[in-house]
Amino acid sequence: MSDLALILERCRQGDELAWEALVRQYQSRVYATALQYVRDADEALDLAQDIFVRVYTHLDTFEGHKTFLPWLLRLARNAAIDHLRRRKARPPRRDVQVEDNPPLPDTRPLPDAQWESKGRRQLVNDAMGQLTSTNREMILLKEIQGLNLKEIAEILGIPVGTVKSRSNRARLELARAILVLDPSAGMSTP
Amino acid sequence: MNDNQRERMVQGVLARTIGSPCGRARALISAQSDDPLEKVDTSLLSGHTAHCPSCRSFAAVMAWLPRPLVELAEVDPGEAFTNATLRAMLPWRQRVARRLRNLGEEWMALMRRPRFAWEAAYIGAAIIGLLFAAPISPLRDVPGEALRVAQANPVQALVEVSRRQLPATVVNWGDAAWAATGERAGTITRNWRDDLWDRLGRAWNAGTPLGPDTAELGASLRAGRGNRIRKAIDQIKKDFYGIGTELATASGRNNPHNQQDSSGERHGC
Repeated sequence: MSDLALILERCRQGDELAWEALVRQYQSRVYATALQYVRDADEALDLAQDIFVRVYTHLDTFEGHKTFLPWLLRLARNAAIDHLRRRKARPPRRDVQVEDNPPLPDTRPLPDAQWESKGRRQLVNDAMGQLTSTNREMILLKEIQGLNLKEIAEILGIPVGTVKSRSNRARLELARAILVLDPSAGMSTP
Repeated sequence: MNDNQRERMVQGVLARTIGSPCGRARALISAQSDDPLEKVDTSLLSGHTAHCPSCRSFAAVMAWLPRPLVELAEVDPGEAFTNATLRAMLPWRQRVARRLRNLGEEWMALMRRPRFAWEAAYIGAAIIGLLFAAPISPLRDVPGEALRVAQANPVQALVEVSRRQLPATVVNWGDAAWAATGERAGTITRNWRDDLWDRLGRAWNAGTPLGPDTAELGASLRAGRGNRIRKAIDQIKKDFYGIGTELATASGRNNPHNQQDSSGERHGC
């Protein structure tokens, strides 16, 4: 039995330490996913918490033979859709400054290599903000989270062929958006 | 012809025939991220990108993209996030546990309210009304059917209704069980029953109540049979005694001689 399987089993039994370990192991991934859906750092924190609550309440429905990440991302997607629907139905009372592409939060120190990395990530993140929600979701699931075509097809409920063509289209749109933002992208950095 | 002239000529021909092939080139550039291209496609693509700076940039971006995309897979939400999430979970779990624990107490508290009986009666009446009186209710004919059954020959009608509503298998089992019981009870029950029917008939025709002397019938059976048969017979006897008394009373009220069958045969229930 793998470490993750053990942790999940302990979580099901109500082991609080196992739950904390699971949260720590997946919080960055869940937060990154939430961030791509809502495009707002504070809102993404709330959404990420909602996602973890869902994970906790649905742990019994997780079937061990399937991989955990696709299951987690499916829950995350459903939570994000609910969150966006609620936001649409009831706009926030506080004034929100419109910022299409918020800077990625990062509390780590930034030596040169990391500075470069942050620049790359920020550029791609900005370009992601230019995509349609369908294309952004496709890039998120396939290129960012690394799911395969079949897993994405199951999550989205569409045929594998459709996933492939949408993924292709999304990549093209993303590359175009990056070149608009920075025509030298891909040339100057290794 | 120098390079510039050659390139201008190619662009001119393309513009007058198929337009720009960049769309096809970029589709191939994107597709090769999923699957390797065929050899000929790879060759055609490199031929195009060698002369098309725009597609060359595009290819460079596509080759560069995976790394920053993978870097976006995880974004640190900050140390406070874990604690905030765990804190957010705690009240939720406590809420559920407390809710479950208090459910029984809340119900008992509800039961202790003085008005609860009135409210329950009111709700019950409303439910019964909805079930049996609402025009769209599938049970609306049930009271009428029950009344019809009660006004008809009650025992037979009830048996028939029950038989109609039971699956055939159950009815067959019931018949088989009844037959087996009849066999085991034997002639004693049949004789006793026939005798009782005679007495009932006579009592009906005479308009007099059936006397308690039928107890002697039961007494005559007690010696030879088991307890279960005896108890059953006693119960049937009591029932028949009650029915006989009712019939006699009714016939006395309604001048039984006018209702008497001319053939003198008994009137069954």
